Amino acid sequence: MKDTQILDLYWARDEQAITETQRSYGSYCYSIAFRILYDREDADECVNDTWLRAWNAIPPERPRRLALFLGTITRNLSLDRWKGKHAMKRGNGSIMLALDELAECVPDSHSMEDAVETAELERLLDQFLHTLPERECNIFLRRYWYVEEYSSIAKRYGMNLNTVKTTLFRTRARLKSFLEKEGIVI
Amino acid sequence: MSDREIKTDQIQSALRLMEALGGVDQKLLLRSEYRRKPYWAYGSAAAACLALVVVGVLSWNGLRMIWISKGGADSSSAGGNGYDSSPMLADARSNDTAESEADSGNYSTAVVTEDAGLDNTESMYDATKEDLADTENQIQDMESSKEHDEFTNSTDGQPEDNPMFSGNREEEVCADPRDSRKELSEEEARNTEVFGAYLPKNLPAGYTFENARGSDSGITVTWTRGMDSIMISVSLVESESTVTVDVGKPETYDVRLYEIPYGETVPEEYRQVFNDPLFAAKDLSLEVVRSRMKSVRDAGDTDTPRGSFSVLYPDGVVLRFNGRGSADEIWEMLHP
Repeated sequence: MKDTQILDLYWARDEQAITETQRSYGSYCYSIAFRILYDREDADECVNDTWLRAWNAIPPERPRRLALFLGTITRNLSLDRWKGKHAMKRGNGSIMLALDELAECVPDSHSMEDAVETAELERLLDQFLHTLPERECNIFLRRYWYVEEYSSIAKRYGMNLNTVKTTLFRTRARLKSFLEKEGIVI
Repeated sequence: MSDREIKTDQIQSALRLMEALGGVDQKLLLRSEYRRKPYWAYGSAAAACLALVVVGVLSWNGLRMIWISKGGADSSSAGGNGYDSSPMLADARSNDTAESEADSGNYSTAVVTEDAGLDNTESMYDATKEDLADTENQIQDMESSKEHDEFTNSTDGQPEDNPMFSGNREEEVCADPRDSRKELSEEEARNTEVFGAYLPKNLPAGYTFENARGSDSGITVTWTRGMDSIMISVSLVESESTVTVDVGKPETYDVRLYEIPYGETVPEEYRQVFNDPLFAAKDLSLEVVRSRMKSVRDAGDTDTPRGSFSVLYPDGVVLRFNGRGSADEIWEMLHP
């Protein structure tokens, strides 16, 4: 079923919308959740919560890209669940590694100013990503939005594994430099 | 603040960054969904092209044979080349042209993401002939960015196979015909992002730049001083679980403890480390460098000490040294 038809079901408050959404995007959302949570039950719960959130959001929302709309909800739910459940425990799937890597991007700031607002940080990150060449931006997003493994990214783009690592290494350095220039405190 | 508290803070900040990525422009996310088609997927198009070319060649040759067998006397061409005016050949040529034009047209193929559940997502890219050429370039990049072990050590420790003892080995390695990385000037190598900063700023007296090559995965630079040379390669560590040498166990890396051929004197269990030791940057010292440099008398060659080892820096960068110089010179070069 096409996205437009699924959205029509949501707008008609026809519960068939949930079934069709699950059929079309169940695996996609599950893979996002599992990469973050590394736990089948938790991932399933996040996916189910995603359908509920989508049902409550549509209408009035009518997302232009249903996949990304759902994926974003799943991602946010998964990150929240991960924070609540795992705290600072280590060794939980690839998200910990991804966070360790992103920690390199945190500016060395000991400012007493308040940490940047979330909306502003989102805007700056978006701005930064738009400055990147396409390849670097794609790899960065696959790694830190989708929490994909290096090997998956290399396979997706037909690249050498080392090239992926090097590219990410450079992009993280650039991000740190960018945030420092903006005077960001995170 | 304890280390644990600092690390906790860093992870919290990283988590904020990760969450903030949730607001990224969806167009960028959509663009990242692109998946390169596997090479075999181009096979059907490539096979069709090849078949057309083969048919074209065969038909052209066949027609030529027919023309030759007929004597080729029907030509009215001023140039005297009967082939030019033969209506059969002209037809064949025009057909070939038409086919090759069709063939060299676009291979338009919608590349639809294969992610499960994204069947409804609109196709994002058309794979054109430029994409195919791009794929070929990527194949070359992939091959050229493979880690060439320019310090390949023979595990049997035979001097002629061991780069530490073959005067010509470094030059042979430098001239590896498989190395298709981009050639760089010294300045370009030093300005290479990430890796250039690790190149030694000062070389031992008398050394001058010879050549440099680089790719996304690393750079290699060679300097020479007569028959002596120094090669430095900088790249990223291959695996997060890479283990560095325990400097408290010199029997695993100290060349002064063993006689050549090392294959007969170095215990088997140490050989892998002995041939290619990786030291943590914090462990590198003049003594460690001394332990890896040895002077060997080869007829017709200098007796400058030679050696090899690698250094792993905290940020995951690996510097590989293979070359000649006194231990003091090499230590001064790497640790000014």
